[in-house]
Amino acid sequence: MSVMVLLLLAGGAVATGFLLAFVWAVRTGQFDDTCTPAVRILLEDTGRPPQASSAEGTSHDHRSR
Amino acid sequence: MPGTATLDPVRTDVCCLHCGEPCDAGAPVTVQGTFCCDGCRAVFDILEAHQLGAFYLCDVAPGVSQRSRRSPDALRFAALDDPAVAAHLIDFDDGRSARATFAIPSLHCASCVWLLEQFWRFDPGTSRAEVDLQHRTLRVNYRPTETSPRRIAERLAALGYEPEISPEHRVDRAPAGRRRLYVQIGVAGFALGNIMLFSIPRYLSGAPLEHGFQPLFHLVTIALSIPVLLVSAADYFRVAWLAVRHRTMALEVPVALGLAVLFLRSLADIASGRGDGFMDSFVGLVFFLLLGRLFQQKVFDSLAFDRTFRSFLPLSVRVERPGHAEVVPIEQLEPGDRISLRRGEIVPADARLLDESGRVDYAFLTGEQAPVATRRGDTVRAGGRAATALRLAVLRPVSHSLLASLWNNPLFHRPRTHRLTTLASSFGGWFTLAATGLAAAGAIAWWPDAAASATVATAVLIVACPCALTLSAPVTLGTAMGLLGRRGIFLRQAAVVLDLSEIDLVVFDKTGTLTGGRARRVIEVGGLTRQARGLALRLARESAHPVSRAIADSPMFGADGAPLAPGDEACAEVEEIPGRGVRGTIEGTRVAVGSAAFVSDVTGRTLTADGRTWVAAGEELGWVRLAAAPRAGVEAATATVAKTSAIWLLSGDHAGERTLWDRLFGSAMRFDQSPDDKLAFVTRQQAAGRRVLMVGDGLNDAGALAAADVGLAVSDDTACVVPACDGLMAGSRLQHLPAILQFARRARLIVLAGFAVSIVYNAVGLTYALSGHLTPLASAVLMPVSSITIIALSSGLVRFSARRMLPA
Amino acid sequence: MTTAHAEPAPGALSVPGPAETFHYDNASVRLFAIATAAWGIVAFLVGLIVAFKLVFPELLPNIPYLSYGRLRPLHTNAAIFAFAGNAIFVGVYYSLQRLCKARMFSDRLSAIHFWGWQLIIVLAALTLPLGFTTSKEYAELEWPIDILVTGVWVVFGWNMIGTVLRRRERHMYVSIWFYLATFVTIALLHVVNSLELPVGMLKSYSMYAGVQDALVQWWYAHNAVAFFLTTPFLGAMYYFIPKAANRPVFSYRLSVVHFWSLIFLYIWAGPHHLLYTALPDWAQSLGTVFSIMLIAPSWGGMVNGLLTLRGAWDRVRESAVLKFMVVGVTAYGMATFEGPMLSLKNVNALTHYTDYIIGHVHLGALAWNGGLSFAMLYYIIPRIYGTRLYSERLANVHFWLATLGVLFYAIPMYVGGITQSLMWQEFTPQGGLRYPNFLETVVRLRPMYALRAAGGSLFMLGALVGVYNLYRTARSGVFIPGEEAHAPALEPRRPDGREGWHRVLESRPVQFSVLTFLSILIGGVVEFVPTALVRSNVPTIASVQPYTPLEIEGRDLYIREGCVGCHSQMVRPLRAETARYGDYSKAGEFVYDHPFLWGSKRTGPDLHRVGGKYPDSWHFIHMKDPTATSPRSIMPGYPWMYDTALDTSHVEGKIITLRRLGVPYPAGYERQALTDLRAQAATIAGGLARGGQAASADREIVALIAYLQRLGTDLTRPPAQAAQPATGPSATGGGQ
Repeated sequence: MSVMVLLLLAGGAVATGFLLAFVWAVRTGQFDDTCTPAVRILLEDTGRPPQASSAEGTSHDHRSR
Repeated sequence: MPGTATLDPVRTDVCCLHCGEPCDAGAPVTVQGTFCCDGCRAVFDILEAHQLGAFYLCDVAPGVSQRSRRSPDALRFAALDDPAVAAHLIDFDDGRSARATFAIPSLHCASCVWLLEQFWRFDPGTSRAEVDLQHRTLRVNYRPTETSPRRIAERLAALGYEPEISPEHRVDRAPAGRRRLYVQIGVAGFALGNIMLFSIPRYLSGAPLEHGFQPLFHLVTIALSIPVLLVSAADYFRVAWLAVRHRTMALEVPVALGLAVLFLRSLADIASGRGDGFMDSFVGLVFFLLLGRLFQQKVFDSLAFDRTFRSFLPLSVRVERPGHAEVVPIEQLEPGDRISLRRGEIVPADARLLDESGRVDYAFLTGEQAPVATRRGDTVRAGGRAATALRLAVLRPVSHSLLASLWNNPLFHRPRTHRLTTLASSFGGWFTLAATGLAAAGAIAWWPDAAASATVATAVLIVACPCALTLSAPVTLGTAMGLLGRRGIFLRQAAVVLDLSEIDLVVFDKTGTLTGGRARRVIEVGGLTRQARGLALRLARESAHPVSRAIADSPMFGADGAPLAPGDEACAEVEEIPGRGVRGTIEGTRVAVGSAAFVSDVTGRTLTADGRTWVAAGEELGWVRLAAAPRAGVEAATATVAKTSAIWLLSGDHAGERTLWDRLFGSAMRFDQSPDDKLAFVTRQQAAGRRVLMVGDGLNDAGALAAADVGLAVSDDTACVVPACDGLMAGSRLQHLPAILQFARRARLIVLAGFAVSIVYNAVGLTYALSGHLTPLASAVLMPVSSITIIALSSGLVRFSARRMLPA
Repeated sequence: MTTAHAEPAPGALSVPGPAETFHYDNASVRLFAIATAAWGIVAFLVGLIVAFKLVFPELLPNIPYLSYGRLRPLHTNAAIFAFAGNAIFVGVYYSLQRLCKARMFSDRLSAIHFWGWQLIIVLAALTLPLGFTTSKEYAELEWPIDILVTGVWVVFGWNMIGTVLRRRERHMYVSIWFYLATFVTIALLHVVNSLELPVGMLKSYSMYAGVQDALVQWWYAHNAVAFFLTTPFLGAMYYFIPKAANRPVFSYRLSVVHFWSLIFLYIWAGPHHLLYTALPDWAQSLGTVFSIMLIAPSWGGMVNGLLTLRGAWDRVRESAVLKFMVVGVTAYGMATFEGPMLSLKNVNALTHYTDYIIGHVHLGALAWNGGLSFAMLYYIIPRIYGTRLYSERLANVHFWLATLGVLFYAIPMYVGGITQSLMWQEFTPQGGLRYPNFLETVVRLRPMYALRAAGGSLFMLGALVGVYNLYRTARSGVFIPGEEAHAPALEPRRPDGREGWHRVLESRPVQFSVLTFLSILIGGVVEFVPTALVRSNVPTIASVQPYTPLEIEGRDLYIREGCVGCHSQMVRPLRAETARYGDYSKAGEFVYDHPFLWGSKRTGPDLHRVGGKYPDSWHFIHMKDPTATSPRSIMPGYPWMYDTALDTSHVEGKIITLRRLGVPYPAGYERQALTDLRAQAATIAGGLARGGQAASADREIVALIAYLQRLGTDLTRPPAQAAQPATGPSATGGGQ
């Protein structure tokens, strides 16, 4: 089953990569504020107001169902 | 009193377009809509001007009310021109680009983010602006050549987001400590997941794996554990090392010992091929320990707990120099400087009054409500609020003011010791002794066989590692702290819960603590016959104003017994004049209650305004003296507290109200207490072996709050300035004090329960260890299971009892 | 970019400019959206065809390119890589730009990515029906296309990471992490699993053999599901649900925990696809344990997604987008619960190889991937055309058709799967199999297959309605190729002082991308290790011999016709199976199988012990028209194998390649191979002729029969006369 060594190498490489990425993210303060990002994505930077940006496209035919 | 006795009927039907608060009569009305105040209107206009009207689409009236905003003051942020002051905000400045971080307590919603992150639209000198809702900060990048922190601060204020400039400590986003913890947990979690990958097969197959795999897996396992040892477990070893160096004891010592042995033993086993080692237990333990720490780290980011006197003083003040006036940071004030204050501004330094007369309000300093009238030459103390515009000559530099002297007291600088640390350290000592003792015993018992005795000894140390023990306190107290916070009682740190559980003396401040809000009650009546009082009562019943309510509820006016002036005829032509009083006619007699001016108009007699409220009934003239009434439910609460622990009342006020409180406090009352008196009292009690809880607000309690074993500050909004303390609570929450104390005691029991459980686990493990049967599998199961049970048990019990004992 | 001091690093924008104006690239989004819709229809259509073929085997003219075995891989590839793939790119291209406040890194890369990917799909659509396949599930494409895939995938990653590097928003929203993880992991999985040695332009042999090949394959297949059909859609979920509901995700902290725990666990859960196989026990159990552990993070994600909608259910009622998302996320929850359950040994013994698995995967594919994809389309199309959805009513019709379709698909499959499995395992009191004839269990399933086909048709119908609706929506609006947006540039991070060594790590995704390529590189390095590394240490069995040239050709025909899609070659050590098929399969029997052909589904019986079970003549008749030997069989006939002459042009190359992969053919044997092949063919043809079957030795069918008759016979054959024919490879003796 020596191929397992191959898989461990491969998987291990990726996993380690992600661990480092995690450390980088924390150290650079990516997770300092876990409040604002969730809100921020709702806002549009195209000058359009937040509400309009996420208003569900209400259909042309006036009464759905 | 007359000043405050305004009668303002609120028109709730119209709400402010900007902040959604009800608008009073005479609120500014524009074509777009109505505003509660000019401040809100101003903000609205600015947004419109920048085509950011969309602000109002993402929420109904998302703005922040500008009513409480200080009178627009061109010089309010002038001090930021002073590099020393600005340095508190500036993260970096290389001359071409710079970044500053502002604390903005009023940040609250998506709209705020949307608006402020487009701040560059308002100040072209700035580029990026990042809102942090969690820490309520705004981080702005700007070009120093084109704008300045002051300009930015002023623009923010103009938008209704007044930055809070703290002169001592710089605005910090997340504490670096938490990042560190996240990394440690991440590394441990990662290692745990992967080590299990390599140890589980071994446990499942029972036998060693095919040739080639076992050694490989062992290597990987070791490789994975090393970062855990170096990164994740580092703090435990450091603390333990410090403790040892200082000949003190901490729970970290046995933990570190256990972990170290666990690691080395595993290393030895694997190297010598004697076994598979305990690396998975090792990593698992570290992981859970860190989880416990995470519980403990629950903090309330947007609340500031430690303020010094400096926070209560303005940043800068207008100084009259020959020929011109300039604004200087108050640190630069020198004796003899002539300063001028507007109404409502704070006196920055002890000074002498230059005007003929003026009034200074020391409420925050002493608790005395009525502003004090001062004459030319009188000394005005720093921290007082100018009730009238004042011109003063500085007597001493800010750092030497009487106010500052309070903070020069050493206890403000000594680190606070919590019961938890002492408790833990005692446990720690006990544990280390027991563990090492047992290990030695085991070693001796197996002696002739050296290998076996080594195995047993190490096994004992491994199992004895009080990890579950270390978990129970942080998890319990941390959860408790979180639950209290959710109910508006914010503690500085988890250990405070334990301190609360051992309180046996509760000291209350009066004004602003036991009392608060606008409710009043009658404390003294002068020159009124029973008949007149009866009429006054019947008139008062017609009005909803605090003064009227006080009279209508007062036993001195017969509110409890039969009306002193019986009669069923209703009052005629009752009218309330806002800011002055109420009058009406009862059975032909004209009755009036209100300010001196008002009543003198009604009666034609001249009266002087001296804080009394005047009552006229026909020809009779009398007065009542009113005092702030206790907060709702507070009297009952105090009574309950008195059952379990001694209580004291320390008030900065004059003794006038003594009679009102002796029902609750008996002789345990002191009045006219200066901040230092209170501080002294608390320290004396502690010297007498009491564990003191100080409940207070304002500056006058600052010393006592800091000195007490637990200092709880009462404040009606958490964003406002409160002195250094261990906890903050809203005034309305004070009535729950007994529940809180009881809950704290329960939390303590739960901690002990946790201790018990973990000791049971250790006992089980020890039997394994001493009999030399501690297999990797056994410990791999035993250790995480114990940790998890402790976490589940502690947090579960705490939540349960919180639901039972604490108000929603 | 980590400059700590006054003087800025070269190229770093150290002086923050005013807000920059830029335009989101909607054009690429639009292209991918169109591709998603178009390929979706194709995938569903092919799916329907194969579904109906199981009910009416004679549905289509019996020509090679339309035979079940060749269309099934086309369906799976179209669904996964064409439909879901393009849907992923729609989601990424739309949300990534807005999350990063930046246009995609390079329009040229975007174009290469789009057209390259479509080219791959077209090539797949051509080669698979033509029978060019590696037979590894979800990795059937032959090596030239594999290389193309790698290239295009790297372009995608390059474009994505470039965008992330150029972002104007400091925080990397959790979706971005999911996207990056998708790119890195898939790159690695693809490279490792596709290691193969070419024989000709469109033929190659897997680098690994037997058990090892199986392990790699299922490690790949499992993680392909994890990182191609799960993580990118989770990323999309975390963006589109909040946007569509206009409320922040329930707990952002939870979403971050969700991502990292998933990443740290998922990669290891592969082996559970091989329970009861010849894989070592501990490896099997390991797969199970980790699969179970995966429930936690998966459900964390589902709960987070659904709770985001708390208090917004009124909006869900109105918006088709949210409806699709809710059903999708719920299905994700069900599937991620079902998965670990299926990886429990006893459950697996019951469900594996049956249609239950088919139901399971379609629950995920149709409801989770399909649902989210259509939700994204419904959300995006109106926005990039600056209009509103043409008809909310039609969208709701689509939703209900799709939901019903899924139910009508999954339930019959579950029922059928269990039924058949129970029949397989049922014994008479005397201890014999209750249904010794496999066919009985198949016939019993036909109504279920019919129902499934109906469900599929409903889903297809819904999809058509949806596409029409989207088309009319587009028509009703004006396409906005570049949406204008404003945001200040991202200034280089400033040192906060007290930070040490990791300053290196500090300059944002530069390092991350470095890590990315580093890990790919490691994957690449590993590419060259294998031949040395993969030298199998599986316990070999003396009597197990390499295949003869004719058998190799037969095996390649078996692969070409996709027999592995319906027939497993792995008798599990269970009484029911040994009673039905014979001795259970040993790891040692597969040491020369490049690739392995264990299969994952038993629409027909297992074939590992079929060798010698029937006379050659039986196979000869059966392969032409299965119903001739087995009435009511739903297996298609293979008449063309009787007309086409066996292409022997590659025999030599095949021997050489296999020897390079470690199959012990004696040196120079390739020169003799063709002669041996002809000899063996002649023997078989002769036998058939004696049995009254007019068969000429050079036909494909002869080779296939040779292979089938060889299957699983090595154990029973005494080592001495192992080599058949005498001049065979065993001249130098057997396996190492």
